[in-house]
Amino acid sequence: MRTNAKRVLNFLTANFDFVKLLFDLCKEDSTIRTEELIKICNEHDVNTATLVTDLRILRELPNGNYKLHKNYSDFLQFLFDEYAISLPEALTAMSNAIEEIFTKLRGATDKSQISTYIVGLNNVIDDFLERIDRYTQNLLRDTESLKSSVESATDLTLRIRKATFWIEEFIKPLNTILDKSQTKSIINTISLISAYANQRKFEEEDANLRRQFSKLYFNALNADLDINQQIKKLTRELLPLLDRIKTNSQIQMGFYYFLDSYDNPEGYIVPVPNLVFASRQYPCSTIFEKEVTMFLEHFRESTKTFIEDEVPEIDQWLPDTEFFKEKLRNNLPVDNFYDWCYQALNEEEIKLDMMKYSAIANLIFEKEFDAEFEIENRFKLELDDVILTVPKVNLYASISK
Amino acid sequence: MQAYPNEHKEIVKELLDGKFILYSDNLFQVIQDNKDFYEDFFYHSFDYNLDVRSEFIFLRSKATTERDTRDFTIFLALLCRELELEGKKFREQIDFATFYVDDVWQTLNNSTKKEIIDSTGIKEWRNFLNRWNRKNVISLNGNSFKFTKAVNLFFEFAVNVANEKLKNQITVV
Repeated sequence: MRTNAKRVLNFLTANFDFVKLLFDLCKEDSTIRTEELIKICNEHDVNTATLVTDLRILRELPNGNYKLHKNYSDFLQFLFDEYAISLPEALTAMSNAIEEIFTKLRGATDKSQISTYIVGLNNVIDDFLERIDRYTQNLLRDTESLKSSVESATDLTLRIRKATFWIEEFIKPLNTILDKSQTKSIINTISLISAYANQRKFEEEDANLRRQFSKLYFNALNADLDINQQIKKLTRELLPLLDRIKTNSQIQMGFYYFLDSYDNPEGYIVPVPNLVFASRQYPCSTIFEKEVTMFLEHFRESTKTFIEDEVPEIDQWLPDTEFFKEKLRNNLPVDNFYDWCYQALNEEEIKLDMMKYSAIANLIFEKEFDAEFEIENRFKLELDDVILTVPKVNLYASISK
Repeated sequence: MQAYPNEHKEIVKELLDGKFILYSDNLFQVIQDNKDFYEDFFYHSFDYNLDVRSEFIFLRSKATTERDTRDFTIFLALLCRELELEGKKFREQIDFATFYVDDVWQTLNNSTKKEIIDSTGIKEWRNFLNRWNRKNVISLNGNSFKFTKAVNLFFEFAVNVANEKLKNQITVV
């Protein structure tokens, strides 16, 4: 019995909440247990038989459970934008199918056969591209959700596991399917299809087939571009992003555990980097012998030596004051006493220094002499060790005497 | 007689001082060109292992008992934690940002893990930064600093800890 399209759409519209619930319950493996189905049917006033017989949304499995029909499953995934991610094996199978149909097309001679293979090839290519696109979108969306900040180590563990799983189980196998360097990769097959269709669209005599080959050519050409774009998304965006999420989560998790137990041996299940710390090497110095000798000198017992003081060469001769006093008495009055002293001493042919000069000059203070100073009238006397500036002094015999 | 590179004395001094020689340093290329010789030289002369990476070169010692590396790891772990809590992407920050000495000190002190700092050499903040600046792990410039690529060694350590932990968890399951 053919399904009535209008009835199906009407049913889906009228029972939208029920359909969504059914879809959610079937999400994991497209199946639903009998008791669950009866329960939701009762709650939403839906007849189970309608679902199975009239609309063919579900089919009964030998174990009594129900399975969502593939066409509905795809359509509902599209409606709710919730795609179940296909395993790379499914994509490999499609890739193999493309190659198989292409081989058949090249061997076919019958027009209707050729036409069928072209249509089949176009369909499977479209389907393949759609799957790849859905696949990449899903991975990108889920990767974005992984980027959100996490607090606990458990979240980090899950994030690392999820990222690792996607990289290892999905992206790497997908990359292999799309890898240009593999002779049998889908991208090389599509290039061959494109070249073959391009040639046939000129060579074919039948106008209808020419048109079909032309369509296949453009489809294959677009597929080539499309796949290249998907490869770019996967290898240049998604894989580095996932790798980074994984590594960053590992760093956070590692630091989390380290901070948690840095003060006990458990924190060092992996040793911290064992770096070298500046240590000075002290090789023998080239001048070490001199330095050691100098050092030891301090401890050497030295013999006692006596150094006799040298007699200082001091001219201890002083002029005989009595002799000069007498001489002065005889010369009184003297009009320039200091000059007189100078001249008198010089007559003795001695080394005239301040000490000797003072001995005579001090006669001025003797009571038997009176001195008259001419303060403004000063003159210089050059002795052996000093130059004196002295006033002119007139000296007389004391009146009191 | 063995012909040594012209920079030999400088290379030996820098590495024995515990410095990281970065890719941007002229000595980096000289060591890389004479990798086998220097591996042999440091191993047989000092029992040290020369570690040549794509972005930095350093010496590993089997007999290290110092605590400074532990302290730096704690510091980096705390900083990354605080950056994440502030809603910043810690990796981008460590890789590219300029940090202000006083701001970072403030951040560490406001952390709920502050007590860890008090039990380490990090508390002598300026000295701590100066030491790691001399080692070329950070580049200190007055009141600010940046991390150099050598910091990746500590990230590698964290990844190894995480992997070890994950391995243990799997074993338990």
